[in-house]
Amino acid sequence: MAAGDLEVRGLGMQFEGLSALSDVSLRVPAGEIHGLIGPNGAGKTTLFNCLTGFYRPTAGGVWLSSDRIDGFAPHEISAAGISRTFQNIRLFSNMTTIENVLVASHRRIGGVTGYHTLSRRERYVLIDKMRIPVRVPMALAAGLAEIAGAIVRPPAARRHERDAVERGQQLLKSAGLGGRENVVARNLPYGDQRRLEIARALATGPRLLLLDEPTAGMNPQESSAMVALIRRIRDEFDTTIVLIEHQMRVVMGVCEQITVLDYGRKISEGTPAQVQKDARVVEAYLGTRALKEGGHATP
Amino acid sequence: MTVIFLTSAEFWADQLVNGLTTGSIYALIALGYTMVYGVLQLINFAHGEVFMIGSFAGYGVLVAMGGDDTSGAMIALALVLAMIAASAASMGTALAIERIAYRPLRNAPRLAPLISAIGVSVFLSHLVDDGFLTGRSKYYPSIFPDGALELGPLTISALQIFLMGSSLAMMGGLWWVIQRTKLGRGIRAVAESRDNASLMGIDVNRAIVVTFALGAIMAGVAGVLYGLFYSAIRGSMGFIPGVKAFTAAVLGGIGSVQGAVIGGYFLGLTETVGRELLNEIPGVSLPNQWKDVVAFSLLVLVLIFRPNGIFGQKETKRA
Repeated sequence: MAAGDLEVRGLGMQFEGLSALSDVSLRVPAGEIHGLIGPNGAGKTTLFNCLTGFYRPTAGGVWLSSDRIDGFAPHEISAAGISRTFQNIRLFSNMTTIENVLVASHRRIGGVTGYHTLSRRERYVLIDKMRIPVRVPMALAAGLAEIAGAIVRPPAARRHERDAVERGQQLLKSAGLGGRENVVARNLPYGDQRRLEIARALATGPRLLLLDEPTAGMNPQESSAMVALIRRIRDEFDTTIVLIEHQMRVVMGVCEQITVLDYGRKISEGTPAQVQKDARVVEAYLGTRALKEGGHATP
Repeated sequence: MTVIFLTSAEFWADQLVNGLTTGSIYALIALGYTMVYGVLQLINFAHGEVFMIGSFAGYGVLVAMGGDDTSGAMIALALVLAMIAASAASMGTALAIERIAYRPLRNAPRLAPLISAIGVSVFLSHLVDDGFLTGRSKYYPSIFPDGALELGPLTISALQIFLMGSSLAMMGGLWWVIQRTKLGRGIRAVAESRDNASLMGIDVNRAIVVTFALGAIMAGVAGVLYGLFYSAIRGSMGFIPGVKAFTAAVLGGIGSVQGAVIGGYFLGLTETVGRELLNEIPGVSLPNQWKDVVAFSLLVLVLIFRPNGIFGQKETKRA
């Protein structure tokens, strides 16, 4: 597997008797834009929640760049290289746009001890394996050093912060939010909030970006601008992208491969053209009329 | 009949200064309540004991540095070391409480950590009172130089100036940390949404620990200032200032940092000046203990008419 490859094998998610996902497998090679579609309640967002560590899958596994990541905490998965946006926007609404982006780059800013930059495996080898009498005082000392470092800010930390601000400004510019660094997020227009969410997701430095209905609530014009942005992100940031989408025009226009879910199971996969022709998909989801018109698929 | 004011301008000026002095201590402690509430929606009722432990650690340093006989430049050094030791002891206490009594209950119903907090509070105050002091109080060495600043009717003792000044410096420092540093940004992110912050790569547990640590540093310094000003300290000393600071945090709008500061000063002023104002009513003579009645009546009134406090935001429904 190459860096940025996503592999999901036999994933299952059980909620006290309700099976939200069962035996879902998919492979997304690095650099692909992959669509995830299916009727409401098919398990698309559940799958995202499993991939980001927000839920702990009850069966199967997830591999990113050939590292197994299921069972990691959300911040560890973020460190491993997965980032996401939400169907209903979830910004830090009382913070400015640049602060939103900076929060997401905290791990990369790092601290004086470099703890933030360690991967889970490195932490295990360097820290978690030590005995408690060594670990506790060391953790305390490291914590104090971090706090002191964040307050006093040695030159290296200042430089990191400055770099992060610069990177953040670049990101905001790429997302079409240049010059709005100090606007408080909740005061941004809706479309810009979506863009900011994407910029924030990119600030974690992801290999894989998960977009949950990036064009929800947008008019056709805004949607096509979003499609252009998604393509540009893939090329500019070299990320793999998986997106959940209801607008068929967007799905067919931007996705190279598609996976279709229904009732928590994968019912089809392939190129947009293949999936469109798949009788199971038509039956489960699109409906013949909507398919012919190629319009908005949800009834 | 003419109303005779028994009191002079000097008297009111004194009350004002006293109000601001106690208000500073309330504000420092209230910051710990409001910040922890901000990230965990938990009322850390053991925070008064975090303050108490800090006060004892400061006492230990002052005694070790020569007690009442400390003089000259050693006084300044002793005060600085006492504050550092108090902050460190408070921080250690707060972090241990968080790890032992709160973190295991992070996902339990909200009542569970609250009861746990009350348990820790009772445990610590009795541990110190019955375990170490056997009921006696300790007395802070009175090392602070005498002297006072007179500005017209205002007389401010050097100790009061020191107390108000160092509180303001601590609060300014905290504001800077919260608004201008990476640590503060992480805390604000976690306060807005724990899940969201964690998905953005913030280690939520670390941010929570840092929040407890910052609040404890404020409480530790407040403990030393309290000891210098009121002299007597004991294991149960954290209870009333703790409850008052909690009241101040609620007055200002719990979760809001500037609210806690303003609530602290407001409460300090109201309970000293407010009681004396009531005493101006002919036939009314309220002893000093009535300041608590004034303070808590104020809490009830605010909760009735402005349940979210002066600066509290309306609780918005999350989508």
